[in-house]
Formats: sequence, C-alpha cells, structure tokens
Amino acid sequence: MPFWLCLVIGAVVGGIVVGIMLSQLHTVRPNNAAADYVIRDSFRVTMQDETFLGKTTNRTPRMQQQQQPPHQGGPSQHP
Amino acid sequence: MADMMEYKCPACGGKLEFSSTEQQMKCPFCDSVFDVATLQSYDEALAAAPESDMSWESEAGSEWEQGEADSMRVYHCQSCGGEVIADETTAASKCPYCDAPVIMTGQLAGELKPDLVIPFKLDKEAAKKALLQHMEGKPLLPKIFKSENHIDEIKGVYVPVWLFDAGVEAQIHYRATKVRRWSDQQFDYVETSTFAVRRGGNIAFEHVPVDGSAKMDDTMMEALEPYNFAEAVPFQTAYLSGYLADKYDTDAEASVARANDRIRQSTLNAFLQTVRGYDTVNTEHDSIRLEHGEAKYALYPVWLLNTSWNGTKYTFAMNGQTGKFVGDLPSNKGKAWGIFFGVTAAVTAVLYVISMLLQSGQ
Repeated sequence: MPFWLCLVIGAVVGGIVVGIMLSQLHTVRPNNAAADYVIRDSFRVTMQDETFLGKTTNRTPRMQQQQQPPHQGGPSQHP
Repeated sequence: MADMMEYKCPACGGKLEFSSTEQQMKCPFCDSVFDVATLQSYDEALAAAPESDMSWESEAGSEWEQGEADSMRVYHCQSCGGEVIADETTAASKCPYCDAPVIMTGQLAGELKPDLVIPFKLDKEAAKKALLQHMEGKPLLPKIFKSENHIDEIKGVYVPVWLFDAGVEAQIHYRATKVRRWSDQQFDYVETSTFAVRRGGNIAFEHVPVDGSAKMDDTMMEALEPYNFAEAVPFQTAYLSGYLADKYDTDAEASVARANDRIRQSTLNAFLQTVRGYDTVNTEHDSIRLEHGEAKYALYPVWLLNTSWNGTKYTFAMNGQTGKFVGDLPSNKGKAWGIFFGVTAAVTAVLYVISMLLQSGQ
C-alpha cells in the first residue's frame, strides 16, 4: 500500500474520531418528525399496488485489458 | 396521439416518443420502452390523485374565569421585550431567556388560559446535577470551561406549546426500480425495470408540540422532547407557584406550519417503509389530508440555565419532567486539531508498517 494511501486513510479515521467528539458537544438538534406522537396501531395501509411500466437494458463492453498483452510501461499516446 | 407526445419517461423524465417499429412509447434518452395503455393509466392515476389539505380547526385555550388571573403578575423584560408570568408569591427579577432585569408591569389580563399543564417533577438541584453530568466524558470540552463557568441563574419556566392532534389520510405515488445485472464473455448488462407503486391509508397523531414562545429557541424545545403527555393535567394557577410561566407570543395559526412539516415527514416515512423489494424508490406525488385537526394550548416545564464564558452566552435546558438535558458546549479547537493529527499519524504509521511487512513477506 503506498504511503499516500495510508495517509489518506489515516486522515479519514482522524476526521471521524474528531467528528464524533465534536458531535458530543452539540446536543441542540431539531426534531423534524413526529414519530413519538403516532397513536398506537393507528397506521393502516388500505391501498397498495404496483404497475410494471417498462424496462431498459444497457450493455457495456467488458474490460479490454483481459484480452490485451500486459502493459510494458512508458508513456502512452491517445489520438 | 397528440396526448401521447406529452408523456414523460418514468425512468429518466425525458420526453417519450412513439416508436412505430416497436408499437410502444420509447425514450430517446435512455431507450426505455413503455406500453401505451400502461402509461395512460399511470398518468391518469397521477392526475386523479387528490391534493394535500393540511388545514386545522383551532379553538385552543380558554378565557380566564372571574378572579382566576388576579393573583398573576406580568413581568416585562427590558432587553428582549418578552413577558413572563408569575404568581404573587414568586418574585421574578431576571428574564429566564436573556438574563436581563425584568420589571413588573401589572396583572395578567386578556390572554388565553392554557388547557393543560405538565407539572414540574424535577427540582433545581436535579438541574444543577444534570449540568455537571452533561459536561462529563467530553474530551473536546475546554477544562477551563468546567472550572470557570458558573451558572448565573436557574429558572423553572413553563413554556407555552401548541399541541396538535390529527388523523391523516394519505395517498402516495412512488416510482421504483429493480436492477438486474449479469455478464457474458463480451458485455456487462444492466437491466432496469421501472414500476409505478401506490400506497394509501391512514395514520393518526396526537399532541404534536410546537413551541409557542418566540423567545424560547424552537430547536431547543424540540431537542427536549419527548414529554410524557399521560401526566398532563387540566391547568390550574396553583401549578405556577414558584415558577415562571411564559406567555405565548406565537399563536396556534403561526405554529401550524411546523406541526404540518413534522406530521407530513412522519407520514411519508411510515408509508415509505412499506415499499420494499426495490433498488430505488422516489416519491412522485403525495396527497396528505388532515382529518379533525385540532390544537390545544399547554404549558411544558423547562429548567433554563444560563452561563457566560469568554464573552459568549451559553444556554442549557432540562426537561422538567423527564430530566433530558441539552445545550451546546464550546470546543477546544487546538485540542481537536491535536487529536486529528495524532490519530492520523498513528493510523498512517500502523498501516504503512503493516503494508511493508506484507510486502517483505511476499
């Protein structure tokens, strides 16, 4: 694993740790839903249906390098 | 046929065209193909879906009875302009919200009487203890904040809230997809099937609270939830003894929008959970209609603690019934950076050493 990748993973872990610690200081958060106030057993689904509308299929060529000889190194040029 | 030209692709939203070779509607953008009759009924169902109606009938609060409000005093805050109420035995000297001096302006008159009150269950000592616990186990809280800050004043305040009850009838249209992937020797295939999904039904809410005080931070009141409404009792002035009570300055009509937002969000969440087995689900149209929407006026108990540190005011609040404690704390930015760099360096070193060992072992 190259050093830069180790550094990136380290920075992400460091960011997560500090983010969790900072979130502990922030406790005033809005409550955007009203799930605590749903009357028990009041939720009833009286209609549920599904209609198939159509489908689409996309195909993409598989990776070409499996069929090509191994890369020899050096710069490559694209037309 | 002119109507058909107006159809939009349920998969990507592009304008569909009729394909004479396939005798079906085809999207020129994503190549999806749809049956004409199915599209027609799908569009008709969407067009026939009822519009949302979230209107309320509010008769919250009642008039004070003869002599009932005589013992109540009104105090005016000279700083934030707020007015709080206390009974004649409770002296109020400072505003519970901004800590500025308050002056008595007279007796209570003309305001609505609350329908209900949840009485305080926890005392001032419990609030002090909760603040200390609130500051425990937080590595980024400056140590000096704990030692230097002192609570200027702790006030027990009955905060006015509007409580909304409503039944909801909902009809929601979703566009959902199932994705199937496979490969052969030459190609990778992705097949996306598109479905129109409908859900309809009912759900009921009771006592959805919305802060009726402009001075009390709405977000802080929501953070203090939930209150146990089973312990609410009909309002009597006796419950105010020893506490302050805020007068509502945001009426029920102005609070409806927030109640609607919360009810709507919970309704959408509840129905969305019933749409299973798809890879993607997007809401196309929803119709949420309230039935028997009613509002009540109540007082909820809150302990407010104000403190200042480094020239910044910090307000904490405790649910006077359940003890839930909230309040944002300052952070030690230098320590935060130190921990960030420390963890980054440690993880980087460990990963690099492991990768070196693995490489040398090969």
